[in-house]
Amino acid sequence: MSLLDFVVLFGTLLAIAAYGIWKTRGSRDLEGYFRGDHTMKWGTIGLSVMATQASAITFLSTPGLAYEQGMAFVQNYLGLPIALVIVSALFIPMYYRLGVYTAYEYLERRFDLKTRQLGAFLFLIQRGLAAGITIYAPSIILSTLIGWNLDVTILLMGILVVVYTVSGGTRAVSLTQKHQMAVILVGMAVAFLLVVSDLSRHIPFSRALEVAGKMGRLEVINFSLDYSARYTFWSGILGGLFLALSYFGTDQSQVGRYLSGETVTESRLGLMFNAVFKVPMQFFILLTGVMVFLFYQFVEPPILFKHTAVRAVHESSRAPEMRDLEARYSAAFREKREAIRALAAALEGEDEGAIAAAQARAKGLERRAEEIRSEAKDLVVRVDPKMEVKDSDYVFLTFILHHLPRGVVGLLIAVIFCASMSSTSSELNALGSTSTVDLYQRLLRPRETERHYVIVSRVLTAFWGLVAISFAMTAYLVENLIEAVNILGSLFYGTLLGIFLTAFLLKRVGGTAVFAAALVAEAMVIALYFTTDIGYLWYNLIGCGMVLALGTVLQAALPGPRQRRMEPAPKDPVASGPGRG
Amino acid sequence: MPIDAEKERRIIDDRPPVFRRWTGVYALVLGFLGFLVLLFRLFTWHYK
Repeated sequence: MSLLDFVVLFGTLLAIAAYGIWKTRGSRDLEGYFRGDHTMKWGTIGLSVMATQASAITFLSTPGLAYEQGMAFVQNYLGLPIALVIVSALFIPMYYRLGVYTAYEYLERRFDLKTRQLGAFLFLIQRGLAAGITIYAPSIILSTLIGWNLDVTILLMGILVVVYTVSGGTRAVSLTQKHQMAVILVGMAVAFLLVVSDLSRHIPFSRALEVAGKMGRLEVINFSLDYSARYTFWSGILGGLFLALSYFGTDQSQVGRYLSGETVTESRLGLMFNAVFKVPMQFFILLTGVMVFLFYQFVEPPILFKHTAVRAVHESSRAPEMRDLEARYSAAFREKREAIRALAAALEGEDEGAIAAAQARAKGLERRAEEIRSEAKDLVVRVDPKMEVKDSDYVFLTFILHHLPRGVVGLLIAVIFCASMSSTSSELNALGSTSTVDLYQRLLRPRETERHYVIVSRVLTAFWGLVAISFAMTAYLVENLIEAVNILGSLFYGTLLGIFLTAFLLKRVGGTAVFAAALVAEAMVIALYFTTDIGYLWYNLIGCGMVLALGTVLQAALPGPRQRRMEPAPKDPVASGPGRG
Repeated sequence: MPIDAEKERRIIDDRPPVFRRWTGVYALVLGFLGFLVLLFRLFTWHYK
C-alpha cells in the first residue's frame, strides 16, 4: 500500500467515525440509543438492512468462493425474497400492533417468560459467535497488510469496534450505514470494472465468460436433488427461505433495523427493496470473483494467496522445497495459460471437437496446479502445524493489493473496514439491547431509570464485544468465513423460527409445549451437524419443522390453557413499541 | 404517557405506493424472483 492508500484508508475511517459520534452527541436516552427515534424512511431502512447483512465477509469471502467453486453460492439467496415477503406480511404488522421493543418480547406476550428467555438465549449465543467472525474478517486484512500477528490484529480491530458501538449506539449505526452501503456499492462497481478492464488486455469480456463456463465457474442453477450437495436450487429455495425467514424475522440485529421505520409502510418498503436487489447484488459479487479467476488464468497468481504462509516456509530450513514447488507451479501455470488461450481460440472457431479437447486439457492442467498448491499447503503445515492454509478468503484481497491503482486500493480497504464495523456494531448493539431488555430489565431490575438502563446496555454491549473478540481468535479454524456465518446461523435459526411460526400460526399451542419442542429440536439439529453430512441450509428447515410438529404433538398431550390473550405493550419507556409515541 | 391514537392509526394503517394492496407488491417481487431464476437457468445453460 502506498502513502496515498493509507491517507484514503484512515481518512475515510476517521471521517465516518467522527460523523457517527457527531450525529449521536447528547444521545443519553433509550429512545435515541436503541431505536433511532422511529424516523427512518424506506430508503434508509433498505440500505441499513442490506448493510447489516452485507459485512466485510460479503466483500472478501464471496469473490474467493466464486474463484474456487463458481457461481452456485447465489442459490443460497433464492429463498430470501420469499422470506422478506412473509416477514413483511406476517411479522411486521404483528410487531407493530403489539408495540414490542425486541422480537423476543413478543414471545412472552404469546407464550410465557421461559419461551421469551429461550428465544433471547438462542439469539445471543449464535449472534455473539457470528459477531466474532465479523470481527475476524477485516482483521485478516490488517494482518496481511502490515504483517502483524493475527491475534493482535483481532484485539485491536475488536476493541475499536466495541468503543465505537458503546459510545455511538443504534442511531449512529443506522445513519452511517446508509452512507457506508452507498460507498460499498460504488466500491464493488469500481472493482468489477477494473478487473474487467485488466482482463480485457488478455481476452474480450464475452469470450472470457465462455471460458469461465467451460472451466465450470458459471453454473448458477443446479436442480439436483442430492441432499448432501451444498448449493442446489432446492436447498436454496427451501433451506435459504427458512434461514432468511429466521434472520429477518427473529434476529434482533435486523428486527431493530426495520422497527425503526416511521410507519409500517416504510418498514415494508425497506424490506421489499432488499427482496428485489439482494439476489442481483450477490450475483454481481460472485461474478466479480469469477472475473478475478479469469484474470489469474492470464496473470500468474502466487502459489498460495496467503503470503504469510509462503513467507514462513521461505524463512525456514525447508525454503528450497518451496522454491522447487513455486518453479513447478510457474511451469504448470504457463502450460495452463496456453491451454486457456487454445480454449478461447477453439470457442471462437466454434469447433466442438477442438473445444472439448482444449477444455479437457485446461481442466487437467488446473488439477495439476491445484495438486502443486496442495503440496505447498502440506509443506506450510509441516513447517508450522498451527498455520491455517485455507486461502480462498485472501484471493480478492490479493487482487486488490497487487493489481488496482493507488488510491483505489485504500478506498476499497476502507470500504471493507467500514462494512465490517457497521455490521459488527449493529450486531453488538442488538446483543446489548436484548441482554438489557429481555434479561436484565425483565428478570433483575425492572424499575430503574432510563439512564441506568443505558449504562447497563453499554456495559453489556462491551461484554458481548469481548465474547466476539474471543471467538474471533479461534475463527482461523473455519473453512470459509461466509460459510461459517451461515452454518452457525443455520444451527440455531431453525429452532428460533419454529418458535415464532408456532406463535403466529398454531394458536392452540402453548408455552410449555413449544419450549420443550424447541429444546428437543435444537438438540437434534446439533446432533445432526456432528453426525451427518446434510447440507447446512437444511438445518433451518429441520429445526423449524421439528418445533412445529413436536409443539403440536406435545400440546395435544398437555392439559391446561393453550392461548394467552395478546396485550399491547405497557407504557414504560423501555418496553413501549415504535407505534406508541 | 397517554396513547396517541391518531399516531398509532397512521403508523398501522398503511397502503403501498402504486398498488392498492400489498398483495400486488408481493406478486411483483415474487414474479421478479421467478424471472431471475429463469435468467440464471438460461445463463447456466448457455455457458455450460
